Amino acid sequence: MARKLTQATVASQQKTINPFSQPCFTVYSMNYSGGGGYYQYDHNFNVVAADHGIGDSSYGSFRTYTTVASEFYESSNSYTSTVTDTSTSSNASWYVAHTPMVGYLGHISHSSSGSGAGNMGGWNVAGRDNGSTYRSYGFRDVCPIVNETHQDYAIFSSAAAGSDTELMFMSRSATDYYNSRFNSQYKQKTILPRNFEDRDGNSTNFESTYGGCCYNKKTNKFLVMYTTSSGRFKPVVYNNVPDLRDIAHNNNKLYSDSSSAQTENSNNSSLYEFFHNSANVTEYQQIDTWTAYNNQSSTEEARYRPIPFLCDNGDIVVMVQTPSQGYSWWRWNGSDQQQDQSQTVSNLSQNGHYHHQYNWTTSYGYEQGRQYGSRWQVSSDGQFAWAYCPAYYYGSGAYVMMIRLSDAKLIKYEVTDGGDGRHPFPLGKNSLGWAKTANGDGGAGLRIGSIDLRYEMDKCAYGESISLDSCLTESVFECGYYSTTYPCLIPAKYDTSLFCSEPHMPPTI
Amino acid sequence: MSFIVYNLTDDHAISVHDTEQEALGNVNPGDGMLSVIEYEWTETDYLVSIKLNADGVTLSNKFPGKTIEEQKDLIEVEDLAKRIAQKKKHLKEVIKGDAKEYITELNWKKTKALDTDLISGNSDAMTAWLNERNAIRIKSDEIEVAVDALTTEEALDTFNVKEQFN
Repeated sequence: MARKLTQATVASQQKTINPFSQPCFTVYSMNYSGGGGYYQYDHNFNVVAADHGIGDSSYGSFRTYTTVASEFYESSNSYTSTVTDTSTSSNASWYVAHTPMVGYLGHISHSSSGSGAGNMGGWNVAGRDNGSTYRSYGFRDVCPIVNETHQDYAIFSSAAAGSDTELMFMSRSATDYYNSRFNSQYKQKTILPRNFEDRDGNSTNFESTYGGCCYNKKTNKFLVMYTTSSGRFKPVVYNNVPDLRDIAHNNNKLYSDSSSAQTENSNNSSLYEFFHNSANVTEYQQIDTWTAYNNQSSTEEARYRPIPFLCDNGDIVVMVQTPSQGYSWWRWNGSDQQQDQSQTVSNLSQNGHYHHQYNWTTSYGYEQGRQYGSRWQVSSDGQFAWAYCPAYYYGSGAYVMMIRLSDAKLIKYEVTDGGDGRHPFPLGKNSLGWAKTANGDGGAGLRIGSIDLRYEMDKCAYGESISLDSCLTESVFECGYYSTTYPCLIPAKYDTSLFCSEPHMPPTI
Repeated sequence: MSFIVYNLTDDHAISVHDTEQEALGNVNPGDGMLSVIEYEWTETDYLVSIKLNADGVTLSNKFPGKTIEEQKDLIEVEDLAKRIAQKKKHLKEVIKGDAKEYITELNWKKTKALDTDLISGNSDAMTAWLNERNAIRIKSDEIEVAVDALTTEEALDTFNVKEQFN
């Protein structure tokens, strides 16, 4: 009798964590006489944690008492209160509901939770005192990373104007960035050359920008957006770059393991050599003399804080806030590396210089404080990104540029709200979540909604406007208080790789 | 004719649109905070100046005849006044809250004063305790007056209530 062998199936590598059950965002509010707290939701809008405080003075837990929230390490709750709106906030400049208070690094004044849901959704970081001041450096300096499924690191460009561009590769943390930049001898950094050809082909020393770089993980390219004192942007793309995530997590990728490493510095590492090798460089055309700084807004934000995206086809798009005016887009074609000066897109406002612009009224850039200015975020799968800035003064309203990285398709949203901020956040695999930090009076809670960017990019024409406010839902997301309060949103920093087909790859430390 | 998306809860305009359909496309119909209101928009209108009239259904520019730059300046002045009022309101909340805490912290002294007076056969200790408690109220009122006298945001931002009580 023939013997039949049963072949055991080999266990396939499977995800054991549902990516949608990870924390996505936290609603925060604090009415100092009424109540508030932290209410965390996952990517399916299910609540996963809550920490509610009431308006009394009990110690030992989060409270929203008049004089001080007992367990917050600051002298008064005034800067974390959510009692007034963003246009007349009595919380001075650190008001938590301002549009630019959120970005890739989470929320300036509140520490996000990590990939595992805890019993609280976040915690204040001395918002009244120095904590937010420190963390705002990271929000100003962090550079876009696209087509990256493992969004567990960040790249910072920490110098502007006549200083050499200095890049730091490290954790996705505004707190760690401040510590590393100002309090320690951080090694995983390098400086970049600044001498390239201007629009006329002459060798020129360009200037640096805060956060004005973009790493496209899929194409292994790294964009550095240089500028001049008059804001004439000049893109330079490095090809075949080493794995920057690996470098962010491993200093031995950059320096020797031996004791000789102590003699190495940011000007002689392997990364320094890579960025100073002209064979790795593709120069794009410098823009002409009609610039955001010269012709729209003579502010530091307009010349030293471009938010650039390097697309898979080599196209480059920049969004720049133009305080006192609005914002504008700038574009280069990957096919010929020339500035795109077309005026044929009917959905956009074009003049042969900028790719699009919107002009309304006064808003603040980083020179009014690092908590102001433009920000960016990226979808969990890394294939879509968005840059945004406030429309009005301290941080209300929003101008949003959304981009599909595969082909540089753009859509937009512009809301001229002078009263309430907007807090975008990544949701699910490729959705953009949207919160409006409006008055939760009457049980409205925080108004939140989302759009599927993959679908919208297919559906919309190039440059078309899409209303993000229309997706908002009220009376669903808890904010801990029934009467007047202006809750805000704290984006979580979860494991983005779980949303993608390839397995999570822990950094090799 | 234009169509304004208006925040009825907080009384401010949000956006202006060429068509009603476009305006409605920016509003969740279920959200009672928002309304779309028709308005004869002119080149000298500044969105932030547009306010709901007493009739509750029409809008007007609260600074008629002013240029947009003049309207911006006037609104800046208004916003500053609102912020100063908000900061004063908040500081007074803090003052009252601190006074309440200081008074509560005196409770143990009352028991001691009662014991002392029982032994001494008079009411001196209780009188002293009542005076101490009342001094907190008087100080609280004085600090509130000091807050009212402040005229700039900077002065309000740097005003330290705890130092005033000490």
